[in-house]
Amino acid sequence: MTKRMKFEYFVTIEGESFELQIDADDQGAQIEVNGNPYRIEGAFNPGAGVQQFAVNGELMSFRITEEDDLLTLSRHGREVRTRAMHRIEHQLQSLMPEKIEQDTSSMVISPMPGKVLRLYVKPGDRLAAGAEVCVLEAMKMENVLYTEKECTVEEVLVAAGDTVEADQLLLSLNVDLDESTDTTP
Amino acid sequence: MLKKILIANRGEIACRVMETCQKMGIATVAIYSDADKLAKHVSMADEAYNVGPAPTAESYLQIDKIMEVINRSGADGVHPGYGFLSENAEFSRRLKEAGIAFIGPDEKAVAAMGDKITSKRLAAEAGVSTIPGFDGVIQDADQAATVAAEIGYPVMVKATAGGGGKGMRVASGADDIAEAFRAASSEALSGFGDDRVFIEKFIVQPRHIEIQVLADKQGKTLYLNERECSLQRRHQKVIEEAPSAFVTPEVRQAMGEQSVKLAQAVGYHSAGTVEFIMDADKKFYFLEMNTRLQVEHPVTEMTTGLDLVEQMIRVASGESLSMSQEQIGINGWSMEARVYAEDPARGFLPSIGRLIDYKEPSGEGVRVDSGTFEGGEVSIYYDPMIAKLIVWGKDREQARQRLMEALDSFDIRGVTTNLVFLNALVSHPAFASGDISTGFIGEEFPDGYSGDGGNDQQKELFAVIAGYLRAETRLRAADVHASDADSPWKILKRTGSAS
Repeated sequence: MTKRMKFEYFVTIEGESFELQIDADDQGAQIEVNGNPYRIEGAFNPGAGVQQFAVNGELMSFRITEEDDLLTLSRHGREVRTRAMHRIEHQLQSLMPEKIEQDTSSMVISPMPGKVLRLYVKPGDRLAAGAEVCVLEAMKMENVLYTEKECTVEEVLVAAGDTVEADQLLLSLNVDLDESTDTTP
Repeated sequence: MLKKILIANRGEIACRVMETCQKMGIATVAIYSDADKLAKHVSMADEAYNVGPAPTAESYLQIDKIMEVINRSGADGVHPGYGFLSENAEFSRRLKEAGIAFIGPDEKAVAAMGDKITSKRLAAEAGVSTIPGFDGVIQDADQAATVAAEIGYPVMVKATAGGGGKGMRVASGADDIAEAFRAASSEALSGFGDDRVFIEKFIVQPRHIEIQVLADKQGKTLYLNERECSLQRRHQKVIEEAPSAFVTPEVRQAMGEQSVKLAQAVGYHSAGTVEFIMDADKKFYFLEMNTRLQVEHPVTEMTTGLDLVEQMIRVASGESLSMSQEQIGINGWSMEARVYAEDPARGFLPSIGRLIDYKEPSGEGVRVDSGTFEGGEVSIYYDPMIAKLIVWGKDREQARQRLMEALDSFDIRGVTTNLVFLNALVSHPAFASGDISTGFIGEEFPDGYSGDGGNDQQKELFAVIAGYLRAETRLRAADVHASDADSPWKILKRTGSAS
């Protein structure tokens, strides 16, 4: 039995909103957006990392990553995060609080797994913005880690020779420097 | 003809060499480290021997252990692949003493071309055009500043034992020279155990174009045309193609003939590559000669129809080359993209892990050279290259379109890859028109890439696909819960706003 359903979706991509009228069945769908008609066909394979669809008769591959209700799509070097919503979800979306990025300027975090080759600082050191704090080795490449802001070193959590994981906290820094620690007149 | 070949390498190149050996009916011997016990090259080989712990210096670079395996397995030839011991004169000499065929050039040629100062001098003597520079080792930062001022900025400080982008630094002015000298020497010391550096003129807007040469032991030397490898990131090649959109038949012939002269001057046999840098006026300068099979050799194979590994094995077995220069043509166009486990959004930092999903693209004109499989691991010990994606087309545009589609259908999950970045390069209008230089990636993508470049025409298409996927998901859910279709919240059902 062929099932057929109609949907009205709003898809947001990088803050831009697209209103879609979808008429879908097991074989594919007729979709209209901005007055442009699209015929999409192709077996839908949930969870597959790469999927191929015929878009208006042309075969196209897409790289797809699902993450909660976000769908990351990529093709021809362009990658976007999309969210498809009902009208009500879309309306409620504007009421959602913005996600605030964590301030990592007071931390030195290992960007990759590797080995601490050299440590240039010790607790109490006063550092300028962009100062080298340590060297990590991974895949035979030496990677220097720098401070983001002017700071003093609060704690050193690793030693030279240690193997570290990605996103591991290596050093904590004090970036709220008061007058008493200021060495400049 | 050789009967049993030991491949002194790992990963895709070990697999690549074994494929040709199998095609020729030659037995294969693999070596592997503890970390590579389950690697593809081990399972492909007829015999495999452990040569030590994961770090390369304790396994793949252990000449003594490899000699022992040769002895035990009865191999009569060794293919070194690229990297590792491929340009190690000591290894070639040891093999020669043991009466084992080294599938590569003579150790004298390796030694002569391995040192950048010597090779430049030999090239100049053979009539090959070279870059203005200082023919000597730089002792300290002060001398570096003096020499750089004489040549004229910008200059490049390079390790004499260097290669693969390590131990190289550009100084754009007197302010940078001391740091460039320090960084290049220190990287050279840690990378090659040799901190000697030299200085040469740095050419602005350069293109990297190299000539593949092939020579037998009877003295016949051919050039198999050029490859363009201008798309580089920190001197590491990213996309390569053959032929070059920039090279004219006259320039090709001149480069080819000079390369042949250089190869003959050092008594070269086997496959080798003479690298040139080319300026906007199509003037070319000798960079270095690589005395081994190159990573990007497949694009030459795809356009000449020759199997370079097979030719290397035949030459090492003492056969003479059966073709003449006139028979070497250019059929269509080929491009190669190097697929790496690295994160373009985080400054191209290497990514490690297990390949949870790994499905190679296929289709007309698509070739994948890889050394891994689904479930395989990318470890911190080795180069993070996962595969080489190679395409062929009847012309450059067809090859480019095929590469774009193949990159999009390469399914790799478990590690972060540069697949999206590679496609951003290949779909870039500048690459499409062939207007590229070795500075292209650094200029266009100075902070890496997060997928946000390129044109926005695709946004509507992405919206359509996102809507389609959600609609199809709901359609399937409706099969299971017919009454509950598309209803994450009860309220939606009551208002009837959805479907």
